[in-house]
Amino acid sequence: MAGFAISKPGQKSGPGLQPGIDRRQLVSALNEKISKIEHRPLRIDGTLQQDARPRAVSLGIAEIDAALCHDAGKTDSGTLAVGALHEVRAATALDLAASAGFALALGSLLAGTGGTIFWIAEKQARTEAGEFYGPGLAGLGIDPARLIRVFTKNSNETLWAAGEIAACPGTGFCLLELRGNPASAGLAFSRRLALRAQSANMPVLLLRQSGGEEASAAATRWRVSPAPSIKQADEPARLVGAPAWHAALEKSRGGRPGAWTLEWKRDECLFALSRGGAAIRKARTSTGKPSGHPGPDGPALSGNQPAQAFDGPDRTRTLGNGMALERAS
Amino acid sequence: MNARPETPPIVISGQRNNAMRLTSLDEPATRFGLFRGQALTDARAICPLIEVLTEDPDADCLLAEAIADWCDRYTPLVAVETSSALNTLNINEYGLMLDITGCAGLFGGEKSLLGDLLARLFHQGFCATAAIAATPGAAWAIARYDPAKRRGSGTTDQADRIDRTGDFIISPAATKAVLSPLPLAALRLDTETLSGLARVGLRLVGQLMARPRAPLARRFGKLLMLRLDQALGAVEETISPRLPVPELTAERRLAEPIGRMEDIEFLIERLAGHLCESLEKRGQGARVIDLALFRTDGKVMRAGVGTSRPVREASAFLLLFRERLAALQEDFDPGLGFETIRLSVSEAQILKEMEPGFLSADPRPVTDLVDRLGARLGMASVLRSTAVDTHLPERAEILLPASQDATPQTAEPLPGMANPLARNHLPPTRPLRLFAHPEPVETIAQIPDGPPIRFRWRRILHEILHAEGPERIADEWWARTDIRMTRDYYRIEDQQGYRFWIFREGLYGSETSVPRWFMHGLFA
Repeated sequence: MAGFAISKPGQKSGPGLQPGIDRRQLVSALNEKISKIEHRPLRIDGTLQQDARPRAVSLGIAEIDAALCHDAGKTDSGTLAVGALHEVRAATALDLAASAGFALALGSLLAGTGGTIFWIAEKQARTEAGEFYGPGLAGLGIDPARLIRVFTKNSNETLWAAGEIAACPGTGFCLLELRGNPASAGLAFSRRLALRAQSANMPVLLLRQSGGEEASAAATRWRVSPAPSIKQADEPARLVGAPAWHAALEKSRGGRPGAWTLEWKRDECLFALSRGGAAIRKARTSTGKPSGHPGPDGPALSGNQPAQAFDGPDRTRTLGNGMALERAS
Repeated sequence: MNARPETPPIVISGQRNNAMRLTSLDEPATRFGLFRGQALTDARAICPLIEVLTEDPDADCLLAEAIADWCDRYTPLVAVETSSALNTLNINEYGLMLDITGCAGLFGGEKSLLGDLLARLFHQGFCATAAIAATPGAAWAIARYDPAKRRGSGTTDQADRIDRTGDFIISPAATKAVLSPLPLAALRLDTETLSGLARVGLRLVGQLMARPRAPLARRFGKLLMLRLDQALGAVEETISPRLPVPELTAERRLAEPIGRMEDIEFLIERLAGHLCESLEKRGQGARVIDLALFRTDGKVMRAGVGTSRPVREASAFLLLFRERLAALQEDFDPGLGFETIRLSVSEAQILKEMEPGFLSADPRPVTDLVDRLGARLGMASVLRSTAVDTHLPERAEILLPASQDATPQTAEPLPGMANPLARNHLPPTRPLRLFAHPEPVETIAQIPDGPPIRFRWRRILHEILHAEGPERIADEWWARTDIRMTRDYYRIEDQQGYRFWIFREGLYGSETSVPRWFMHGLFA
């Protein structure tokens, strides 16, 4: 949090002014400054609104926190911005449930376990990946009664609803499910969502089904696919264990990409590195083949790239060798 | 239609008993001696000029509904009544019944109300007859079989009709005298009873009134006496209005029609202000609010919004209607403008003034958001799930409009699990996402009633690593009659780590010899 060293406030004021009024003015001016820096609204009487929610949270795993934030000194106050847009991408249709689970987990981590969750989805997205199922939500530690489903008919309605929800204080978080890369949900839209999320200090999660990477205002973008489930040693009868995910951080503002295998501790509401080991650099793609190491500056993962949405923004192409032709004469 | 110059007579025809017959005809056609029920070939022989249209009962019904909608401006109690049993041709004859008790004063008395109604209908192109009486039965009789015998007399012009509206207003004392000379058909009797009465020489209502009641009731049934009593007011008759009667209504009639959205919003806010004052006196808040916009050409546009908590702020009303009207988009057509705008509260609830909690967050922003979303997207699109006590996975939760119950429920134990939110380290037994319609999968299993070893779903082959199950879920034979086959559910993990919930439908051997497999959900 921003710290202000106020040394002898009386010095600034003229000797003729009453010290009480002057002090109040100074405090309200400072409050105004803080509210601008921290995007916290001011109350009518000029005091700052007390935030129930932190501005940023830490993921709780040193390695990932380090990747999310270059500045090692800042990791204590949190590395993932709460009031921001975070994108979770499912490269193929098979990854949908895993990425939805990861998105819900990430939302719970950011927003805490209280408050209403809004899920916006179009009909097409719901038939492809199915609906959220109450008992299944409970299995992730989320009370199904908290989830409000907002079903829209077209992208106009989807974007309108997302904007309304992102601007509403007091909401837990908003999960916006999009299919592919619709042209209407481009950079300008993500920027608007991100700004609203920031001013309401509410996490907005964009769950993208079968979509490509796209320039957006998201603070982070994750690509998620399931990892072999975690077996319980004390429950030998349960062959299919608790969920685990390969999460690849494809984009992180002020950080670097990376890939890890994570599990979700629903009771503590925390991520943990999977017991399989520390960072599994060899993240698997959807076909199960190991792919290349994530470079520090390149895209984290290559692999089975899905087909680009035909109406989405074009991806930058790698340039080939050029040839300059000399004039004949 | 009787004012059309230079056009041939129009008749409507329809098939009755394997013959095309006239079901309805216009004024000029009657002058050629055509009548209802006549064979179309006969009519053509008499008058080869006639223009024949085929009947369209659905369109008739829609028109009657539309006019009834329009009549809503006079009173909230409007009923559409049809009477197909009263004629031999089995034609639906529509009539409108308006209960104007207490409403006439708003229009300057009964006479000017009737004049206004007829004049407006005339300008919309309808030639209507109307009557005001103390009972629905008497009004029905006089509107159709009016005493002055002017019905169908040809060139009645509008000015004349308006001047003579006085004839159609029957005071309670005069009801008996006016009804006496009318034919018995005016009592809403079916054709069978009428012909029976005609055989014993009874043709007029007055004759019936003079007769002793008991023998008539014995011979023609109780309905005859009931209809007579209803017409004379001895038995109370209520009409069934087509729309529920609102609890509170505020409306504004405009001298000049308006069409701009800003004007409409301004008026909505003003009317909402009036409603809120009344609501405050009652200590209530609105849950369902309806807006009716009456267009100059008679069309009525209606829009309703619901709220998840009782609301009593005019600005909140306006916010909701702004979303609702924005959702209409191209369906919103002001035409030549709206002349009357009405806002009514259909459902109100006691509004408890509550202090916002000291520790708990104010829930109002979220409920207001739910209302706004519901107003724009439709109440059925903003849903919250409620757990149901059943073992069938697809029925374990039902989705209800989120505005119905805005308070988040406390965590209740879900079926099949002791308390799912309680701390335990067991992996989830139910998938995160469930398909509304289970998708068929092709499987290869080692034994018919065992789990599959590999399966193909959405054209991708999955090799199964772990299969957990079966969890046998049989249909609820105690609750339903159409019993489905038993399902054996398996939790499955494939070699890549994808986790599925698949089931085999039908017990091998006893229920089916070829069990089919379906994909029902995906685990996170």
